[in-house]
Amino acid sequence: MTTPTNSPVMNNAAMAGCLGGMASGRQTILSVVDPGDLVQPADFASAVAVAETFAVEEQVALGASFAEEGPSAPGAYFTGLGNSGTTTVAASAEEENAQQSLPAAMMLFAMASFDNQPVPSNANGQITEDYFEAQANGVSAPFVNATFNASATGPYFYTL
Amino acid sequence: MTVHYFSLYNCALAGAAAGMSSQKQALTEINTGDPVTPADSDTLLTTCAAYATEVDALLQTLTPSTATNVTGLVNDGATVVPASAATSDAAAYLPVVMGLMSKSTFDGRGIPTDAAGDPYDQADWADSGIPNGVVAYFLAFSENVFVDGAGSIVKFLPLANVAMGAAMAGMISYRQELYGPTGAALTPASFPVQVATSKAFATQVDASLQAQQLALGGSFPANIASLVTGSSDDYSTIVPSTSANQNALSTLPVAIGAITKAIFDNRGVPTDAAGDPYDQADYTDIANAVVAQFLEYAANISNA
Repeated sequence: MTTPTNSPVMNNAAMAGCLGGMASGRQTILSVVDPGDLVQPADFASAVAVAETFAVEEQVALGASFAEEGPSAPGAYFTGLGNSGTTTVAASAEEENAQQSLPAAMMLFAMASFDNQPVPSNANGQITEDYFEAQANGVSAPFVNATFNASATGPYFYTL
Repeated sequence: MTVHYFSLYNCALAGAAAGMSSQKQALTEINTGDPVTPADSDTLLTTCAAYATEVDALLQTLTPSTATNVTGLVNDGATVVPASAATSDAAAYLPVVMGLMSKSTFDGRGIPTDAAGDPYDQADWADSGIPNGVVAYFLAFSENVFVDGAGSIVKFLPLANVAMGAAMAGMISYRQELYGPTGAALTPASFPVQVATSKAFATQVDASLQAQQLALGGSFPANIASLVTGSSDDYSTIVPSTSANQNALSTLPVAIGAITKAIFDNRGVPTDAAGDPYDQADYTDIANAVVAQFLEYAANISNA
């Protein structure tokens, strides 16, 4: 069975959603009180590091969810993204649809998961592994359901 | 009615589901770490599929001559593989902006229910006026995007277009200004204001990217530079021919969309001391910050 657990595009999309969500509504990137302050790139390194950690967990969670789905998984649709560490150049309707739909959907679900949420930490100020695992599971569940399964009236996601 | 705009439908569904989940923590069992299974999201996705179907039905009323970037996404019942700069650009910005606008519409609102307490079905969505409002807002965006080729006024076209759409999306998030809780019809009278100020923001984002490219020289992220070809006032979006090209085009517009929407979430239309919507100059610092975050992201992703 094909899984997207080694898809660079999905990894990147999960990172993007995490980054966006952590900044959403919190105004932590920009000082609205003093908008004249220019934020330097160095300030963002820690946020990117958090997003990278989340993306790794997300790939693990997606792999587990896909394994649960078994034969119902539309492998060709996800193959359109590119697995095994290399992105596919879209050459068919199915592959193009995958490139247009799946990274955006992953970003949206990941962003929702982090919207306006502080990144929790333990007493030592460290981000807990349990947090990332739970977040990753929470994002992969609706994503996998939307992309693999169908409602009573039709498919959730269309693949052509 | 059969769904027509497949990727727009998919992103409308995902965006609505993401918005209804935003800040609710209903899907992530944060405190326990318990796994969440796909079955848990069936109710959410069923109503969002009905929403996306209504969005698609409204988009199907478009005629090819009035919204060529939208109608060009699909041909003969299948998603079009881009073969030109314009179609490649459209494929990069339209689906993700539909997703962002749909998410903003539902940010922090949960699953809408009818008088009987049941999640909205397609008829409820049609009656609510909400899909109609999203489509109207989306078309206001799609009709005013930056255009590829001769006369192009920005360089990084797919990034600028998504930045514009994401700013528009952020300006309506959490605010319920466009749709009252009762489903009051959308009033498009304000759209030109949001379109103009968002386009000014996107123009400044592009200017900041170009300034960083000049300043950084060979250190400027190659994946960003690879998105476009051409020279001054005649830039075009690439049609992907390599894995790196496809990765960049599938990833970077999505990322600047997330970063931009976050900046505008829950803020409405920014205004200056005189009460006027921000123009390009007003956006200088915000655009610089978005670009700074975006450059950090682009330098740390997989390009394979």
